[in-house]
Amino acid sequence: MKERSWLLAKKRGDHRTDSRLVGLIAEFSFAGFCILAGVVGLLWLWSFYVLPELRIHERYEKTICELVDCRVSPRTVLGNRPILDEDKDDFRFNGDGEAFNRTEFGNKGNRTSLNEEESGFSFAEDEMNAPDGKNQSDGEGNRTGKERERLSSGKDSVHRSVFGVKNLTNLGDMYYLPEMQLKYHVDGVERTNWTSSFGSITRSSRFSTEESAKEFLELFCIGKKYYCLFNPEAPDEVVIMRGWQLENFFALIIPISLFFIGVGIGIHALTVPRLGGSKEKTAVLTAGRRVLDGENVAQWEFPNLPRIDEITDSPGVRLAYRLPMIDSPAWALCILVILTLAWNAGCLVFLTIAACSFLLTFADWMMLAYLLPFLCVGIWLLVFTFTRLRNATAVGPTLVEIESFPILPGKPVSLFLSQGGVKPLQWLNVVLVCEEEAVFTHGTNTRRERQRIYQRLIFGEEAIEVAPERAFEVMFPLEIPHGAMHSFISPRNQIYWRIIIQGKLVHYPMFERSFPLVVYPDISVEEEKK
Amino acid sequence: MISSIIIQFDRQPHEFQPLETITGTFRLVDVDLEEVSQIEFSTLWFTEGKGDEDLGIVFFTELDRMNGLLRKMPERAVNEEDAAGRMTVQAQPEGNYVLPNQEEADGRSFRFSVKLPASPLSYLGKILKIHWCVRVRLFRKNGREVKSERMFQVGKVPQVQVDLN
Repeated sequence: MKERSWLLAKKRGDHRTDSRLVGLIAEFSFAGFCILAGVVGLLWLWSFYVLPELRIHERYEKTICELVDCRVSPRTVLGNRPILDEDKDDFRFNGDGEAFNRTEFGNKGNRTSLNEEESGFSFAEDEMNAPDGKNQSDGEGNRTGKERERLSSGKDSVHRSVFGVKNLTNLGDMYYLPEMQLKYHVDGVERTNWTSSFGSITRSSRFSTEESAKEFLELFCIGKKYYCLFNPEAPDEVVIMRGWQLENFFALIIPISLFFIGVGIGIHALTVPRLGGSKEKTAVLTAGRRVLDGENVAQWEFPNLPRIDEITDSPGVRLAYRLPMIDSPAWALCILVILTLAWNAGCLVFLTIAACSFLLTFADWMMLAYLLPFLCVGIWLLVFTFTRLRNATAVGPTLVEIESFPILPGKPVSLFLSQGGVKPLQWLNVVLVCEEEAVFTHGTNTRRERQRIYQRLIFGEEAIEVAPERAFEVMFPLEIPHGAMHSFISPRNQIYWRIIIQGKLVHYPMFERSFPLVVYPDISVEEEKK
Repeated sequence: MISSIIIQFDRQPHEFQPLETITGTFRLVDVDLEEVSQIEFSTLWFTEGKGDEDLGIVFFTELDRMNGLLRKMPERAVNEEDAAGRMTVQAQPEGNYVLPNQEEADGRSFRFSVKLPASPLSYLGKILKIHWCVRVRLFRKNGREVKSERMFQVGKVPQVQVDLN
């Protein structure tokens, strides 16, 4: 079989194809790019979108305006306004873009035959009024209902002109700007101005088609009064009020995220030693400076053993410590009960609605049909939850107490078991087990595997009488085999010892409850050997 | 020139008990000290098997020119004269250490001493194994690296035979 190139081969462990230095430079470059992009993006968004938005709401004054007129202006993405060429009956673009002045446009507009009489929604007039959207004379744009109808129908010169534009701008750099003429009063002076800003002075509402721009304008009624905001320092700047432009604030998430990604990569590149380092050094740095400074880790009494204080914090009645039960079904049962109740409550609401439809209005068979599978699931959940609850409550509490900790291999300790309940037990076993557990990544998944390496029945009895007032109690010795491995815990590997209580009630399924043990290495024996 | 690192324990076989101190030497073979930027010495355990690798560092130290450990030993540092005029070997410090071997003056031999912790013991299980080793990494100035390790056993846990009686 032909060997794959080293460059294409899958890298595992320490193997790598590039140099550490190049990797570090690339990592810092990427971090720098992310930070720079984040800062620039943040400044840009803040300066051009968020800050003006805040200014509107903080500095602009609120007043009532009257909507005088509406129109749709075709624009290009570059800001150029299309101009109709008189010879070709088509648009061409003015290179001056937004600096396009009224006189020039008026002249060109006159050369086109798109006058107001012909179109009713005159592009020439609109553009003549529109360049900066300011200082329009009163009454200039008063539209009649007939004009608005023509605006909506699209059967006007603008519509025809737009087709001309489309022919010329198939690249998609065309958009349509709905504009409104507002009449409002500032210090007793009546002002009438065009605006394309709806809630923001930084950005106009843009539409890709003329129809959608018109549909947007139809949301407003000419002659009706609206709230608007004007700049007290430049009263001709007016914005029709539509609340906050929240998308500007949400957009801030992008540069902020980029910034923090860059900072994170930078910190990672700085803290994890790459040049001259190793995984041992990385592990040491992760664990803390103690090892690096030469302090012996062995000073910690038993490294990599499970914490014993979590087991010994509960005193027993008969013996010294009561062992905590692991994998208790209580939480799972609680969640199951909540889920069952919520599901069936939802079903009940819809069932009531469906039933009302039968009684009050018309029979909603469709709703009932849709509801049927949900009802079946609800019934199954009820049965399942009830069975689980019944099984859990039928088996009484299991208490396991131990004489002493730590447990050492070859040194017997006493164990006390108390099994409560209301029903007799068919059988009851106490099993000592030792298992290895390994967590490993398989592709992008993290998997866990257990291997039982030791299992020994240390107590077993059949036909046990259990009464509510008299739990079954027994004391027996527990001995970890001599030379056995101690408990061990590390981030991805474990060796654990457990006591497992298995039993079966008459007419009930088998139950199983686990209790942890912590087994220590027997150092005294090792020291004697020395 | 193929560089290598030879690690040797003072005691054979390489079986130690918890809390025991391991001592030994490591020697750089065919190494030009001028080309060496740093040496890392570590005593550690690591897992092997089905799960991803975990490792625990018991002792870690770096030898470089900054801490003065990576250089030729001056003659007077190797031996000292006692009051009677006899040459004596300098006393070793207590605790964990890695120091230039005073018995060899070429600066390529080092002695180490590390006290082991109480756990974990060496273990050969079914899906999990725990190994102990002394590991030395040598970093050259050109970025290349030479690694050597010597395994040893801590405790005496027999190899696991699954027992599910």
